[in-house]
Amino acid sequence: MLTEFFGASTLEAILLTLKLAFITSGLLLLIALPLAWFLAKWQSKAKPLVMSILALPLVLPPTVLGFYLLIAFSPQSALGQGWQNLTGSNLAFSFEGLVLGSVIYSLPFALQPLYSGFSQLDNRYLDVAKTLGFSAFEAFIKIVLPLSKAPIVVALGLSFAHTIGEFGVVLMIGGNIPGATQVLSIALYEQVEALEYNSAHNLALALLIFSFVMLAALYRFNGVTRSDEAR
Amino acid sequence: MQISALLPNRINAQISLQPQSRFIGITGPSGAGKSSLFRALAGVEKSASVQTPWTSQKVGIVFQQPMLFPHTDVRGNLALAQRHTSPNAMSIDACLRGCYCEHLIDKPVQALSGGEAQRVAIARALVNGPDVLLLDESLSAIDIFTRRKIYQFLNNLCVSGKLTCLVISHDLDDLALFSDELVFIDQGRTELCGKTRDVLTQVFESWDCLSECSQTHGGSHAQRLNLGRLEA
Repeated sequence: MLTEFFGASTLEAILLTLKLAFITSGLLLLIALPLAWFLAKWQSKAKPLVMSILALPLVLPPTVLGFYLLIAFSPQSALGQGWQNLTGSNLAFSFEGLVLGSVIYSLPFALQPLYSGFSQLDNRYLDVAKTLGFSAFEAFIKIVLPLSKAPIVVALGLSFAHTIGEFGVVLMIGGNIPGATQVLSIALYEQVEALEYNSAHNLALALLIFSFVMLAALYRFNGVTRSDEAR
Repeated sequence: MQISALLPNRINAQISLQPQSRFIGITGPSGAGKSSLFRALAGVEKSASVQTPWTSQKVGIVFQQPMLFPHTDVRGNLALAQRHTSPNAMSIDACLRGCYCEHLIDKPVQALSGGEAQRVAIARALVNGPDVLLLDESLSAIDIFTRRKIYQFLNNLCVSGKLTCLVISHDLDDLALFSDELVFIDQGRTELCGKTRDVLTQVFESWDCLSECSQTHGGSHAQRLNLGRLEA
């Protein structure tokens, strides 16, 4: 049924995009959780500088970021060369390159909610945990993470949704290889270019509904969590 | 028993107590540095330099805000406190009974009143088995009858040698009833320290002096006001 509605190549792009989004948001959670915690506790004059660098993908044109990533992923660069030596394949125009680019591009979408949540967490919970004998790591796992349920879900949701919708960076570093790097937004672009408006309508509507449902769920979850906390 | 705590620009307190004192009251005006002193003694102030006779002993603290972990219920809070319990710790049942909160065990934290939350917070600290317990106005929201019963329970633990309690309170009646010694802190320094009766006597004497002074100044101020009105 889905194949009839979208077509086989579009369905392939959908599955690839979902795979990319799941891997990216999972990796981002692993990276952003300790990073956001460190930043929330870090007091330094260099902090605004570091925060600005990490938030750059929010305001930078995706093509600019994509261009620099393309340069970095090329076999002439240290990163691209190292990857090639390690795996024997190119990082640019590969799914792995797409994952790395997506992680960098979506990092602020995972980092900001977590940083905000950790910054607002009352430190006295940690003081109590310390006097109860908890190590810093144990307090983070047993106290901080459960208390930060809402920011974690928001970070996951935003990074997942953002990865689903990304276009510029993916086009620059992944190209348009069906089954390997052709994601939803690029499939849609290709359909419009080919004047396949019916297929484009189906895909655009599906993306619109997905984005709306995702945001509504996040707002709903955030609202429920806040009213729980207020009670 | 010598306690000293130094927190740059906030406290510089030297407290000298009798070795047999187990229930020590701390009082003083708001903003005097009492809570900072407790945070330093509990080891949660990084910049504090502290010397106490309890270096190898477990120190627990209960803040005025109970700080119960809201992601779990009362039972969950007590279970978390039991993760690193010391060998001489009391059972959950005994702590709950002593703090008059057995009936709250299955309640969510959000459903507790301020006084109930304070009782659970004290029970949670006791479950962890501290040798020294710091109570920072931790019973301020509890009704006087229950509060006195909890103080009595804590005092019994102190008398039996299982616990040393340092209690911050503005209620001098409570402190007079239970404290072996009393410490008066002002502007981050120990102003008075000694037998509860002696310290209270000095505190009341200074208050009498203040009261007389304020009457004198109040009178002259009122006279000035009246004079002002007459001139107007």
